Amino acid sequence: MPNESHYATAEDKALVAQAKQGDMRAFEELVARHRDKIYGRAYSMMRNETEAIDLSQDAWVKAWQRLAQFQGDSSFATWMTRITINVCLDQLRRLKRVRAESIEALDEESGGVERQMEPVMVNPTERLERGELRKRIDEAMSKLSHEHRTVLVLCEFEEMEYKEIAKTMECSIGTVMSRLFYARRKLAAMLQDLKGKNEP
Amino acid sequence: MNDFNTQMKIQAFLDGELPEAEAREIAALIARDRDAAALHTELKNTRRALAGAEQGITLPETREFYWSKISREIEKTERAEPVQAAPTLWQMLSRLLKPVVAVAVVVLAGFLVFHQTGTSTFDGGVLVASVDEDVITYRDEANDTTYVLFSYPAENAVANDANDATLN
Repeated sequence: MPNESHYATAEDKALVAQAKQGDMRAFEELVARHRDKIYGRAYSMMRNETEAIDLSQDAWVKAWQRLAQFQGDSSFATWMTRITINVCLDQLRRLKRVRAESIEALDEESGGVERQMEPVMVNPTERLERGELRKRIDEAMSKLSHEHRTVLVLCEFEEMEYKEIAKTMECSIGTVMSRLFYARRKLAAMLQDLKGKNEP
Repeated sequence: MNDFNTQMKIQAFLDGELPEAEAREIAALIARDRDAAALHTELKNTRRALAGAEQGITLPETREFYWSKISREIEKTERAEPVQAAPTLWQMLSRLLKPVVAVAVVVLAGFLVFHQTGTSTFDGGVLVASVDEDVITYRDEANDTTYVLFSYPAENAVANDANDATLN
């Protein structure tokens, strides 16, 4: 049985190999290393602390169950992030089934007001401190619909191509493009509004 | 204001999703058209604002507390998973042989009918229905007779019902 310092210094690859053999301590070390990133991704998609904690934990449990499928083609963190995204998407789909179609979706079908908006010429986040910028983005992201937020997360944070986003979100590339466009334009307008409100 | 298609192309240009030739066209459009340039700048600024926005999000729970729920859940699911015994050789063989036996029964029945009547009743017969893999119904129009063929042992519900009906 390896000692404690072995776990702390071992590479992800070695820990994954041990976890595949049933070593829970090795898996715990992986959780400890990547917990913030995994929670962060779940939080970006759900915008709810409790839900993000629960879903990120579900993702870890799923990862343990599917460890045998991890072949090491990507990094463990990337593989784990994809599991988290899928767990969150499943939850969002369940939520969507129980709630009525949002007005956002209707906007999307009919073209939306974002198309007609004048572009925001001044960069509203220029010269902001990191903390303040994060707070404003957090506030603006929370106001987006699940669909718009998800497409932004997959494109901007996960750096997926349109084709990959379409596959993940089970929609067409055209829908991805229009969702992304409206999400970005809404976000720009909201950041502009927040700037106006916060400034004297 | 540019049309929707152009707006989508400006965005795709920003995301590096346009083929080279189209990318050159859109770059030229952005250079000469104020609206296109304004939209491109807005989208670019939004991208820039989002870059790294996820960094600095930290889990609002201690490592131990967070892990304790995960480990409990793992242990629970592992306990709950039923232990599936591997099928025996006989079970695997019987699964494979079932359809073969069903076909053999039909052929045998046809053969027997042919010998009884001296003519191939298959000419006037219709394989009416196969309710499930264990039951085959054959209609012999020439003799105005319907045969229901069960696999042996007749352990399915349809066979049992038919047996009950016959006995009663």
